[in-house]
Amino acid sequence: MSEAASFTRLPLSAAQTGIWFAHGLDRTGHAYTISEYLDIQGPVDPALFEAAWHRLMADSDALRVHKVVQDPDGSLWQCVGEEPTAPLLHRDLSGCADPEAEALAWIHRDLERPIDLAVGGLGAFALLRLAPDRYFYYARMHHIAMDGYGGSLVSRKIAAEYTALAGGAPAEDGIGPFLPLARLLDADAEYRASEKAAADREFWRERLRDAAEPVRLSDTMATGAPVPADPGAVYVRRTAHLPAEFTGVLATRARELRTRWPLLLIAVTAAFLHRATGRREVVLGLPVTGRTTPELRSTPMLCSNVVPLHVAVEHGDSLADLTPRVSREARAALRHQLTRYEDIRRDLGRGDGELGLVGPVVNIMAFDYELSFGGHRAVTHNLGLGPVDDLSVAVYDRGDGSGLRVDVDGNPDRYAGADLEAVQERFLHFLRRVVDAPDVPLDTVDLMPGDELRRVLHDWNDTARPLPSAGLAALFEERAARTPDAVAVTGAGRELTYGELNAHANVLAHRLRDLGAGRETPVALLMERSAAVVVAVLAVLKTGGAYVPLHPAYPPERRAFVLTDTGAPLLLTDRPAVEGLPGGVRVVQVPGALPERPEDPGDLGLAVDPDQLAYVMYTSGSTGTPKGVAVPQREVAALALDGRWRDGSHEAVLMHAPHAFDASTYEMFVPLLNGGRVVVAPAEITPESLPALVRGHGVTAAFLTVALFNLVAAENPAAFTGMRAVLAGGDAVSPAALRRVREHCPDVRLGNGYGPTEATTFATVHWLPEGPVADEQPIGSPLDNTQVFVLDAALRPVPVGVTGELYLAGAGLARGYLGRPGLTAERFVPSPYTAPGTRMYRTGDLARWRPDGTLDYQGRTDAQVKIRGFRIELGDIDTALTTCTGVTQAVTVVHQHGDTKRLIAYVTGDSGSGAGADLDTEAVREELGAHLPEFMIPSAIVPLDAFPLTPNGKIDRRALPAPHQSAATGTGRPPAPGAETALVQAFAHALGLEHVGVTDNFFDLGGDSILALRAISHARQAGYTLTARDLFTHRTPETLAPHTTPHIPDEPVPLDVPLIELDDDEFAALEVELDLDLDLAELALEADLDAEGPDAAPVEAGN
Amino acid sequence: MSTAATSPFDDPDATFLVLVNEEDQHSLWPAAIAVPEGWTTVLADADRATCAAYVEEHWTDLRPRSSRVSPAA
Repeated sequence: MSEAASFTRLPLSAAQTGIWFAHGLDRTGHAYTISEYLDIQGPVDPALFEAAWHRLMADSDALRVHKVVQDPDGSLWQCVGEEPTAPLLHRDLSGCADPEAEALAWIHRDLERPIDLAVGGLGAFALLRLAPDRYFYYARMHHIAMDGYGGSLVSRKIAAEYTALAGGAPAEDGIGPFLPLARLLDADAEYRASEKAAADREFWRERLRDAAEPVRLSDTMATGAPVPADPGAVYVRRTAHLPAEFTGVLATRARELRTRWPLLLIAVTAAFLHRATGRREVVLGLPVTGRTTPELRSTPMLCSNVVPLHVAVEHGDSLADLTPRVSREARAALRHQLTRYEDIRRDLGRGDGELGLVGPVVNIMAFDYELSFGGHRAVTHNLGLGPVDDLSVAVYDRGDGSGLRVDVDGNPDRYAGADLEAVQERFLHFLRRVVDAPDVPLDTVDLMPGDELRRVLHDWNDTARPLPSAGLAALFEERAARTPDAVAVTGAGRELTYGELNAHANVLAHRLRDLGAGRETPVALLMERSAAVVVAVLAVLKTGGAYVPLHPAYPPERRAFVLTDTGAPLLLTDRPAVEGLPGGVRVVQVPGALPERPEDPGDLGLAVDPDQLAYVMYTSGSTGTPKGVAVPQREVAALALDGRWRDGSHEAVLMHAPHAFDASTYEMFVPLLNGGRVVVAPAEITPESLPALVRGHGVTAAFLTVALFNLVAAENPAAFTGMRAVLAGGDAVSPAALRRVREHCPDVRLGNGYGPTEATTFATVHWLPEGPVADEQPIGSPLDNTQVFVLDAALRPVPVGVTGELYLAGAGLARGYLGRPGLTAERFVPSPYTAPGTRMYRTGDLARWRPDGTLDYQGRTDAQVKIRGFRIELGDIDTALTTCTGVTQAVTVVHQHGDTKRLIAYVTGDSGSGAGADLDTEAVREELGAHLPEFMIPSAIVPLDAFPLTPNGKIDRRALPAPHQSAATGTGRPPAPGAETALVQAFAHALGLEHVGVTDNFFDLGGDSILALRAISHARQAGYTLTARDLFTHRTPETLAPHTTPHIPDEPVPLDVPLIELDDDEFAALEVELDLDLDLAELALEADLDAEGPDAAPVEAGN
Repeated sequence: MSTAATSPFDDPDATFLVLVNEEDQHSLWPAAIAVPEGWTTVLADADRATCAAYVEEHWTDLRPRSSRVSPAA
């Protein structure tokens, strides 16, 4: 071991231990680097430079950390050598066509080299010659030895040394001598054992005791379905420059608000986060140097830390109100900046690996970054501050009058490049707005520029179209009078003209009126689908009553509930007897078979106010108590008379939905109010029976639930041949099914309809354009006279591409829930964006605008889950699954086992009946990996032949089968005694599974970084040592076993190496360290605050 | 889990108002957000349950006011 002799072994600091773990789990192997290059704008003497560089290397222990090794007992050691970790490379690129591009490419190649801490290669240094008078000096150091602040010291030092050598004078750098690393590590250990450390921790415990959870900006500002474009990417960056004039404005405004511009920028960022997320309390990450003494401030090493900066935003606050609060918080945080982030988190009991302590990190680099090499200016270019958990905003002021540079870095798992552009654009827009008007309430500052606001509020909602103001009966009677001989109802063995239909309805209407039906009398219908249903509906409407359809398949209790809830005095039925009726309900028998040639007693001629109810339909709702959606006649007419249906496609509309489902509104009234035909389907339509119906009755249009549409697409995709328009809706449509139908019925227009019962069947419709069927289908644009708004938590419109809650206003809005004023008041709320005093319905659905003014459905507000800290839209996984080969429909749910949450996906196939069983779920999983980041891949994919459905044909999530855990596990070979057995048990323990097979892949079973550590610890307790890297490389017990090292389970490990025996607290710490936003570059904020002095402290108004 | 308290109407700890329009339609409204035009506050700064109870008590006829009077025959 001659090599070992040349190294000094030193322990790791707490911060370094955190990085060691994080590095071990970083798949890229190169995420934790601190790197920059200096663009030296003048000639450089390479020999002098090399000499300066050697002086620097000799001075800094941290730059000579060659590797970090782990002893068999688990302790970690950094090995400090005598020599530099790597030579200074010299490259002459001046002969290249584009030396700068060549230099940057060279640098990026180096940055992407994976590093093994145990082997070495922690640093890389190069002097690149681009031209005789232009050089790049590139330095890359591992974060375990260096932080961003240290990096800047190193740059200043080499500039000073070079300048000194060039001028023959001693270095004038203003940086004191670098302290030995060993001394600083001692100081770290001393601090951690001190009373000051305990007091600092107590401060954070107190400060954060009741603090709100942080919120990530990606939760609202990323477009979702992130695609890991470059799996090796550490962050996505967008850079913008603010002109020098703005720096001046910022400084002036900061002075007026009695602060410094970096703090003002932090306040703006907090305000932006508040506006973007709607949260009253936001948490920023504040990077700090962790350097509280002059010695630490002049020594390059890893010291930096991130502390949470909590900012409460009150209603009506302006930037001027917020700034002193931010200033005070920042000051307090800096006083206690030595408490490690992971300790703060552990003390708060936030050890569940779900959430970090902070949201976006804001990094203001207000110090002079200009360097000089022998009189030649050098500009620094930061290449990376380590991985970004959510988002980092870094603002650089070079102090050279060139304005500010704003780097917005996003976690590539959360943000696409375009997202970041949008975030940056909105941030800068917001920044200008609030800095211009610091006294304006923040809630009124929009996140988007005026033309975009106009587009989403007005242009895309410009749907006005004249509507007749008449009741439904009158509109129908007008049709009947105009074309009495046209066919109105057909199918189910009976054909009725408009005249006959009206006559039948009049007969019944007279009878109902005589029985007391009148204005808004609820009249229940319990009938099988037939022409008689249409007659009954019209008859009720003629009396001014509201029909209440009862689903024939519902149990008597539910029927009784609806009757009691509505207080319906009359029940129309085609059954000879109805049992289980509440008292006071009069049963009116109407024969399913209508008599020939009825005597028309004439229209009742009642004046029916279009605001009277047409019907009350019951929906289940999430609480389980059915609620009666009360829909006025005007809204039904608005749906029926929408321009979309009046293009000839809706001459003959198939009526096949249960009439207790609001699809029946479309099925009856679209044809009847437009002179078309209702084609009544026999009891159930099937893929086989559909073509005969279409041919036999000339069906031109139909609305199908997604489940039924998918079934037809799978089993008889040509069944729609001859039709003009087919709409699917109710659940997310399947692109695969659409493609299949498009292929077999190229002449049928396909559409996607969206709308809750509360908005009368459809609020938006999207007709698929010609050409290939896209993987993601929008739900389209609002119907005539309907407005749609996508709003944030402050009820302000969100920008295009940003997910918000969908609100519906205008035509189609129900009156409310019958007899439920409280519930109605909660869901039908004042609309700030339509005429004064009007309402909007909050759907509980998430949506986002596409740039073309159509909407994307983004799932339910309550279907968002957090897995390992990532907010996931289950709908995104469903969408991605349906793009996989062979998958027609998919539903992903969260399965919770203890505190472990797993994603379980259920899928159906497209190759005919029993298709589910044929699906190769492994192939699906593999394909999914191309579309989704790893944390969105379900732990198990369960094939089904068909989804369980509710009576209305929607997927019944509650009836999905429980996943078989054993189904996911592999071979039946029992584990070999020893390591294999220990690993099988460790996997099972970590994953919360009962059995794990020897060939089961840890990550396929739902394992992740956090669970990996748990498994490692468990294996260690059983006597087998392995590293996180081993587990990442060899993922099954079988393949991993040979890489474990047996050891005797040892006695408690000393505190300074908390790496081996992991108790719950230590787990918590590790999870913290792993989740730690390691954006640790520096901010000279502290110096700034110190300079401000107590006298300059903002004076708070007593309150 | 605070998964998606994105709707200001669903925040259990927030303060709400009860608003009424000319049609006597009642609605819950987050106190922190400016009251839209055409609405009057009838109950200020209460918790959600109190607002719901107020609405249940005072909004006994869900018909819009203009629809409660029978049109002239």
